[in-house]
Amino acid sequence: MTRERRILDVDDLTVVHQAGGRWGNRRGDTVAAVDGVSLTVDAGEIIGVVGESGSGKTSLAMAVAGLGRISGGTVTVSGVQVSGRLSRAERTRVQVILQDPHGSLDPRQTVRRGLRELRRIHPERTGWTTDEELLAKVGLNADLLDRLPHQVSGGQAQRVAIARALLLRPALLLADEPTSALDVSVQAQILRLLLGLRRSEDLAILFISHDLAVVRAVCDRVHVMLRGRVVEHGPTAEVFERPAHEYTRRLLAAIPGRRPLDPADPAGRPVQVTTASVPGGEP
Amino acid sequence: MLRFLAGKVTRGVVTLLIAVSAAFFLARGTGDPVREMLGDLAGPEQVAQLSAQLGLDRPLPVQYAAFVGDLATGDLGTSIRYGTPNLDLILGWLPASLQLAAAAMVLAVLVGIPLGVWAALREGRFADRFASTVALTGQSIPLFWLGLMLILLFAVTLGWLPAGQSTGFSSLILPAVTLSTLPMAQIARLTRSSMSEVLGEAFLDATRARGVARWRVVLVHALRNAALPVITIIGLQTGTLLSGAITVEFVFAWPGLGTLATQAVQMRDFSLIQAIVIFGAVVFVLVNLIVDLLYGILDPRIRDGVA
Amino acid sequence: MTAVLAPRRPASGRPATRARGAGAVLAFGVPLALIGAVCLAAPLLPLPDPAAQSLSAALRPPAWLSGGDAAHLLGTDHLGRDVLARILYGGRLTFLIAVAGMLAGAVPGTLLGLVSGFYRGTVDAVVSRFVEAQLALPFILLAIAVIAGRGRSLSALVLVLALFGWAQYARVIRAETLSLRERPFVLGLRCAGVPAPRILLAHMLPNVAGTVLVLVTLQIGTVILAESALSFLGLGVVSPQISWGAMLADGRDQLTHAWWVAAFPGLAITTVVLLVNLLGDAMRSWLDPKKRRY
Ligand SMILES: Nc1ncnc2c1ncn2[C@@H]1O[C@H](COP(=O)(O)OP(=O)(O)OP(=O)(O)O)[C@@H](O)[C@H]1O
Ligand SMILES: [Mg+2]
Repeated sequence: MTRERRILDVDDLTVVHQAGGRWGNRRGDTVAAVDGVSLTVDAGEIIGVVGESGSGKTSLAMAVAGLGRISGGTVTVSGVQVSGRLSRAERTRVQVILQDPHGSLDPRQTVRRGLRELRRIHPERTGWTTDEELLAKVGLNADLLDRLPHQVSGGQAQRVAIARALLLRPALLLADEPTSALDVSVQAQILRLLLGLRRSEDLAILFISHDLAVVRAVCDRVHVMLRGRVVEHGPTAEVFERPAHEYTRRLLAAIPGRRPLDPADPAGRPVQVTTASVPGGEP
Repeated sequence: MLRFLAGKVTRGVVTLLIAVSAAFFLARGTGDPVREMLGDLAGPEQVAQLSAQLGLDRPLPVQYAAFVGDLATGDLGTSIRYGTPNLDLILGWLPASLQLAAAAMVLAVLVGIPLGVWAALREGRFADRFASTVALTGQSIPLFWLGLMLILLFAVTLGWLPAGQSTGFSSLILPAVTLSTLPMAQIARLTRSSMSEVLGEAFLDATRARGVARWRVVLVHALRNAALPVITIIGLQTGTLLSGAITVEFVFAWPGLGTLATQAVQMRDFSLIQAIVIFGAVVFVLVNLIVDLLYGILDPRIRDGVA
Repeated sequence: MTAVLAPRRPASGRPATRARGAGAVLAFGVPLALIGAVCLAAPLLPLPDPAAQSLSAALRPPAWLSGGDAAHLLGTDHLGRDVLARILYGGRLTFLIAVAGMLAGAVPGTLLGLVSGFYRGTVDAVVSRFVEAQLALPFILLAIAVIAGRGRSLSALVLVLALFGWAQYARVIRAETLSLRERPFVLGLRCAGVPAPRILLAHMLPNVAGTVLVLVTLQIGTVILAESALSFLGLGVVSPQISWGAMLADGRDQLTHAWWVAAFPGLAITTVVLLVNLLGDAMRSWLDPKKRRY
């Protein structure tokens, strides 16, 4: 990979949250939600981050998006280090798509008004397309433009959120559990959309999920997080076929319909893990 | 627990300091109390003399420093008209107010909680609507007008009860009933909503399934769980009670702090008014501190900052 | 049980509930608007002059009692002034003060609540302390302190009512903003480079508007009660201006021999405040059936 294609470079990132910490009642307890994480994403790549609830995925995402705390280490987007002092254009190189599709849109604003607002704030970045073209890009009909968020379905709302992100021509799309709140068929449509966009727009995507099946379907490489640390990373196929870390094996075992000793597994490699240690157990 | 206590006390002190400072600057920073006291006919030398006597001729920051310094030592100043320390006056008139407030609060709890429980048990039915209408009306009536109408009915027309002055138990009835209206209404509304929430919870159904009598369930489990919000309201009501007491005491000529305050206004006893305001704020902060502590004791989750 | 079984997205609640809510809003809103309109139109109505004194017609009882006069439907006060006319004319000033006092509290209170909930940190700590301090000052005592310093005037009255009201808005709107700012769409807007003031005014404000509307309605009732108490104590409206509270102060002196002088203005206050409170409750359950009382 040439240097210009490197979009995101997270180096030894640490995010420490204050627990409690209300004024006049400071307790001083801290949580290292992200603890020395390093990863890179290149243009046209979809990089996965998986881990159980509370492993620090969202804290990592917020730091990368410039919305959260960075307690140590660096986050570099297209060669510019993320910090409090970024220009608006630099800050918006990263766009987010979040879990709750309806919650991702202002309930009082029609789709059209929301897009118009973004165009007014970034006139130089948004002239490349019309609202109709933009919606077509995410597979939506233009008659959605005048609806309010509660008048569209969850899948449509998520497409609108993706369209809003695309409008600003981001270098990196940050998807924090973008499909967790959707049912399976809609989930597949959104994933297909992201895969298509990666190709057509040469987008870099950081894809966060606790759903390994989804990660396996879309990601080129994957990082496994446990209590703020990356315990294993590598090309998706490799990590899934030959998990090196005990924790990864347990996560994999928890995928419905896939067992650690699956005879159909092309690698056919036995894994020393008993079902008793599997969270959630066998289906 | 100790840290919780220290935190609450610090916050109380800060709140109090802001409150008394606001009272100080609102009264002095925005107007001319000496002119207000003497009226338009007073000559300039009279104004200057009274200003000097009250220390109002000094620069505002100096006045403020002296004011806070006095407060810290418990000195609330001297009454302009009575010539005695304000604190002594306040403490002298306080017992009648406490008596009235206590009677009103007891009445409010005794009527408000059963009313709220009754409404919650009959949620959505006539009793519920009736109780909430009563409660809402109680929140909508000007207390002093209710007092006037009660006097009209029970003292003037029927002649059953005395219309005012503290002359034994019977004279307490009308003012206490009047003053209890607002806290009663709020306690009833709050009891109803927290009770119906608690009644819907699964553990009550489980208890009932074990064959515990319904009234026992209501009394023991539900009331205990509904107690917390009601205690809060009681804390918050202290301020309302203090404010309401002023008009109610005025209507019934009840010899309490409210009457002292209205007299101070009529006599333009600026120093005494300010002392009463500060005293009211101290009482409010103290009562709420106690309520917070009770909360912490009754529900450890709050103390540990979880909730 | 209802709390457990209720739908999770109340905003799109069952149409029947919302229709009933809208009906209740009309049922209380229309009479209230009518009362307001009649008071506003008082100069156009065939009423006696509310200030005209006539000692020969003093303390006439209401028209339906013996000794009553059809020209004075609700009787006259100790100066022979018509009680009905004074109630209607007094209603104008009462409503005016209520709306002015409400606005003077609602605007700064809402803005402070938004700012303190959105920026949190030091701003929030300071605003919250002031809210608590305001709650600690018994309202009428505070009013007495201010009016003792400034003298009686309409502007002093509105100032006092604003000081009284702002904290309630700040408290409720702050809590709402705190939860709103964690909503994904706000993160999205921040990420899209939308400036914070614009997020606050163009996105947060419209989303708390319903709550503000409910608070404003309920607050009007509270402000009317507060104004009447102040005027009753002689701290509010000054004669010859008429407000319902000032009328009650007159009525108190006539209570033993002319009950109507005090009874009717009080009835007017109670009716209006009750309607306002019912309207506020109806609006709340119309806008959001599951929202709890603050
Ligand atoms: N604002 C905050 N203040 C204090 N602690 C926080 C804060 N945000 C997150 N944490 C803590 O940091 C840890 C990581 O949280 P994070 O939200 O990053 O996890 P996650 O992997 O996204 O979890 P999930 O899958 O449930 O979304 C958790 O222990 C959480 O409690
Ligand atoms: Mg998360």
